[in-house]
Amino acid sequence: MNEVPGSYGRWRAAEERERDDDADWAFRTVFQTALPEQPVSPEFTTRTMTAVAAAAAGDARRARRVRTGVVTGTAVATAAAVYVGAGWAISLASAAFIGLLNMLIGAAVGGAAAFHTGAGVWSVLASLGRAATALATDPNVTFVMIAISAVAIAALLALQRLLGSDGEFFQ
Amino acid sequence: MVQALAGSQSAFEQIVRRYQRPVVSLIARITGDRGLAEDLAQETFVKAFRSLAAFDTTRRLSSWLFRIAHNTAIDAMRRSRPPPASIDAAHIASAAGSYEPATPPGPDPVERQELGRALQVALAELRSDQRAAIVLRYENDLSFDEIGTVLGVSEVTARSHVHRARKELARLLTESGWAPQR
Repeated sequence: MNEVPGSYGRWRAAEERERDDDADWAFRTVFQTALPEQPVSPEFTTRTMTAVAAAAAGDARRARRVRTGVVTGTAVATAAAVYVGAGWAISLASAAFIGLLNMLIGAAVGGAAAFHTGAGVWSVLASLGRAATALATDPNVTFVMIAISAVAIAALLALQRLLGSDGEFFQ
Repeated sequence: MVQALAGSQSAFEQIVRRYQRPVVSLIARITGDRGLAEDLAQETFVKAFRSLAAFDTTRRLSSWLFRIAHNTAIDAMRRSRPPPASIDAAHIASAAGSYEPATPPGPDPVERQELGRALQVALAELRSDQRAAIVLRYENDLSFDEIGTVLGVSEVTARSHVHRARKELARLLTESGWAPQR
């Protein structure tokens, strides 16, 4: 019994009679018998794994280059920002510092006066609150606080990205 | 698989060993170029290794690899027009004849080889998507749904590709002297 001609005849007959499932089944036998799967050269696995290792090493090098670029770019940008904005930042920082001193002095004076006149704890706390509000509503101080928050957020984002690229690298 | 997903090259090597034969065979059937097939299969596995992070673990690994292999083969054929499968049917026939059978010879190896050559030539005449559908269905035993996933079409379209391709193969075989009744 020759399997190929038998299956071949069954396939063609099923095809002509439009019996799709039978044709599907019979053609599978024809195909797998007449066209066996091709063998692979013995060194294929070794060659492929060498290529995979080379690709992985290349990707790692690229990731390191990108990371170095980001760090260098951030350092240069930070240095430029410090150089350009140092005077302005010092002026703002001194304004904030003076505002802070004013608040402390105001709070101390207010507290001492309240204590001297025999006022209650709430009056002392209220005078401290007024001094703190006066400091916070100073435009210079507000700007410094916003700037410090922005710098902190940017630093956190940069750190997260650096750690993220490390994670990808180790994967 | 979990170790391979974590980037382990030794675990990925097991995947290469497991799937190299069907991947090479699929590409060889699509391109009709046995020599090119191993290079493209190597490219397929490198792409797969680089994209492991994107692999959806709810899907079958074989379907994902076949999809990458199919796309790689199609890209290679686009790069090297005209496709080798359609330039010279005689060349395909001789190439098919030079293949080493992977299974032991059957009861009538001469007739089986003749049908193999005729089928190889007829396969080369098909459209590339139909050829891929036939190979995925009858060599790799994929369901129509999986064939659709590999080819990027619906299950219905995949079923239609297989049906039409089989009809076309029957017609081409009749033309080459393989009558319906033998």
